Formats: sequence, C-alpha cells, structure tokens
Amino acid sequence: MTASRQWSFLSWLRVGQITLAAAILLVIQYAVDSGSVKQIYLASPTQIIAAFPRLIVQNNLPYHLYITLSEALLGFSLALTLGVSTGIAMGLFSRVNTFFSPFLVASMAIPKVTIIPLLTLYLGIGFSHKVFIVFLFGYFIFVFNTIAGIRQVDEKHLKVARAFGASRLQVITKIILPSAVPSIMAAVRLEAAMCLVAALFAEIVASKAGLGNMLNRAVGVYDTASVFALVVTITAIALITVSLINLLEKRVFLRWKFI
Amino acid sequence: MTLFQISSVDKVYPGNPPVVALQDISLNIEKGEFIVFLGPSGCGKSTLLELLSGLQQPSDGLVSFHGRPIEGPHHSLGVVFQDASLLPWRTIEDNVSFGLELSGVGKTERGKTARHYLDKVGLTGFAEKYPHQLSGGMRQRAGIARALSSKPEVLLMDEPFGAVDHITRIKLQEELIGLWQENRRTIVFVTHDVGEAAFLADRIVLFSPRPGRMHTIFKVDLPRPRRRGDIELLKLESKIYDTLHAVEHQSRAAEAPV
Repeated sequence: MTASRQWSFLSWLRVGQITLAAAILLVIQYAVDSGSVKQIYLASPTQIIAAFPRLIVQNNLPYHLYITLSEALLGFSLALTLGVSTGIAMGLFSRVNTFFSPFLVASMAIPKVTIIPLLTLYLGIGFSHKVFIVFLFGYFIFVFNTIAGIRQVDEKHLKVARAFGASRLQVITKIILPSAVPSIMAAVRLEAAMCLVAALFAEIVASKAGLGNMLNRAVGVYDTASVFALVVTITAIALITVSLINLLEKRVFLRWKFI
Repeated sequence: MTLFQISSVDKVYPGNPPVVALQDISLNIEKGEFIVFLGPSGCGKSTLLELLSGLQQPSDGLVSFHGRPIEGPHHSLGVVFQDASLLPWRTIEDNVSFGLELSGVGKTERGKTARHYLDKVGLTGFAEKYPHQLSGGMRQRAGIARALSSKPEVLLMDEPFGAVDHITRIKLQEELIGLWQENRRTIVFVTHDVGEAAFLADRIVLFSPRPGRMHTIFKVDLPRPRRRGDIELLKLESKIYDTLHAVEHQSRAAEAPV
C-alpha cells in the first residue's frame, strides 16, 4: 500500500513537472506569436525548431560542430595527459614538487582570460589557438587533483604492498595510482564540462569557425531563433558528455564503487 | 626446531623524548607452534610482529628467521592485518591473489590458487565481489586467504579479529584453529583479548607497556579441540587476568609522581 502511494506521488510529481515545462513553452510561444515580445529578444519554440534545417543546410552546422568538438577533445586530451603526468611526477617525488610548485602556483594564479589576446598574437585565431586555451583551462586542475589523489593513498595499503614484497614500481602502479583514480576522475568530470565552455568562449572571442563563431554571426544578424537553436545544441552536447562520463565511471574506472 | 630467534631486541622511535616501544625482548618461536602476543595497547606487541614480518627493523639486537637475520618482507611470511586492509578497487579474487601477482604468477594459476583459498576460508562464490560488499568477518576471511595464497611458512596476524562482532569472532577463531591443525603452519597472533588468547594459543606471551617488555609467558597445555567455558580454560584466563592487574598496578606506580 505504501509502495503504491509512493508511486502515485511520484507520478503526480512527473505530471506536474511536464505540465509546468509545457506551460512555459506555451507562454513563450504565445508571447512571441502575439508580438508582445519582439522577435529579436526571444524566439518561439516553433521558430527554434524551424531554425535547425536552416542551420544545418545553409550554415553547415555539422562542420562547425565538428570543429568545436575536436578543439575541446584535443585540448582536453592534452590537459589530461600532461596534467596527470605532471601530477604523478610531483606527487611521487617531493623534490620535483618542491622545485616546481611555486612556478605552478604562479602560473595558475594568472587569470587566463587576460592572456587570450596574447595567445591570439602568438597562435592566430584558428584551431591551435582554441586547443591551447582549452588546454590552459584544464591543465592545472588535472595536476592538482592527481597530486591530491596520490597524497590520499592509504598508509595501510602501502603496508600491505610492502608486506607482500612489492617493488617501488609495483607500489606505484598497483597501490598509489589506483588510489588516485577517484580524484583524477573528479577532475575529468569537472573538465568535461569546462573544456566545451573554454572552446566556445575562445571561439566567441576570436575565431573563423565553430559553434561559438556561429553564435556570433547569428547574434550579428539578429537571428535570435538560430541563437536559441545553437544554445539547445550546445546544451544537448553538454548533457551527452556528462552521461558519457557517468557511464565511464560506473562501467570502467570506478566500477568497484557502484556495485 | 626454532623458527624465529629474537635476541635482546630494542625498538626506539626517535623523538623528544624518544619512545621506547620495545625493550630487551628475547624469545624463540618454535616451528608449528601457535603463539599469542597479549597485552594492553601501547605494549609493543604489534611492533614486535612488524619486526618479525620485516616491515620494521630493530634499533638494537637481532631478529632471525631460520637462523638468518630478517632484512625485509619475505614470501615465507604471510601477514594478516588488523582490519583486513583489502584494496577496495580490486575484487576479492584479485585481492587474494595480490601477492602472487606481485611475484609474477600467471593469471590462470593466480585465479585457481585464489579460488582454492577462498574455498578454504568459506568464501566460495565471493570471488567477483568487491570488499565493500562483504561483512567485516568475510573481509577478514579474505585477508587470511590472501596471506595463505603465497603459501607462507608462518602466519603473522595483527589483531585480525579486533573489528568483528563477538559471535563472528568466536566462529573465526574456531575456523582458524581448523586451518592451523590441517598442516600446523606456525602462527604468531597478536591480541588484547584474554579469552581469545587462551582459546587459541600453545603459548601466551604477556607484554607490559611503556616501555614494551615481556612480562610473563604462559604455556597452555590444554587439549584440543578446546571447549569454551571449560573449567581449565577459565582457570587459565583468571590467572592471566590476575597478572594483567599486577601489570597495570606496576605501570601505574611507575607513572605516579614521586
């Protein structure tokens, strides 16, 4: 009885949520169609849907999507590889850590947005410019989370490894690095969202292609429906990314935590 | 045959003032015996176990195994830790075969050995589980299987049943005696539980704290299987309790301001 009462509460909750969402969309639709809100400020749901074929066919959305995603993915991979390597070196060898940490802290303290004009000067406004900015936004988080993960290793687990005669290398690969995986995965989760934002941000600042560039152009011609359609596209990508990361955590890297 | 020879061992941790964990320990451990180190916390019993396992080195004196000084951890020594200390990211099978993996044993053979010892400790069917899915008692069984899987000559057990409930603890003690009687592998067992010591041991070494010293050695000649509540067992326990009280009295007198 309790179960069915709970179920009906949950189903009413869902019905309520869907009704509210539909109501909001309808209000917007009416507000735009009736002309009480000007079309340069807001686009109606039907206009947004209608903007998609135009964006895909005339403006080559797939190409720009591809550009943005490759920038984000490449920058992310670079940040992950180099950041985790730096983190491992600094986490395992205290001398490396002592030597490099002031440099690292100093370069992290530079507000990254302020050097974007310089980067434009060095790298132009093309692909490498975006990749580097994405890398810059991700690198430090990977470094610090890797170091933190390595520091979190359980003293007891190290003792187990030593009691079983593990070599220094085995202690690193079988105990220290697996202990750091949850912390590194936390950075992956954070960065997966951040790298897309960084790529879009860089494209909005200065670019020749990509979704950020499309956004700029749509805003420039007051094509508000296209702007909203692009926002919807980007949101969808972000959601897909998050669920991919969830899947990766549950099935591979942190499988042991979810069983 | 003497397996471990501990001669005039001191263990001092540097500091201000230095902490004397063990002072003047001399003891022989015979092959096949079940010896229990008993004492209150801070008496150095776990430290002595770590000296035997090669995880620590004595500050003075000598600890030898088969007549040779112990220089570090050794495959003949299987260690069982206080709270099992399983690696949470590994399945039970991969935890049990950890030692074999480190020494380069192939995957198929590792799996076979691990399952064999899991059967032995009553964990058949739990190979694919992760440590957090098991109860405390089951985790400790897995810890024992892990120590056994590298076929050690000696089991060194550091308060292995300290964290499980009383009923489970009694069951684990009986299972341990069963395992031990199968092949009389030497067991060095650390505990602060008098009843546990009396039930398990051939010999009980009672330690006194600050600095950790050997106080009394009780020889337990009672026949096995032992029955809990047996009058001889209770007599022995009461003798140990009396000695423990004397130890406490002494150390309190020593600490009292003059």
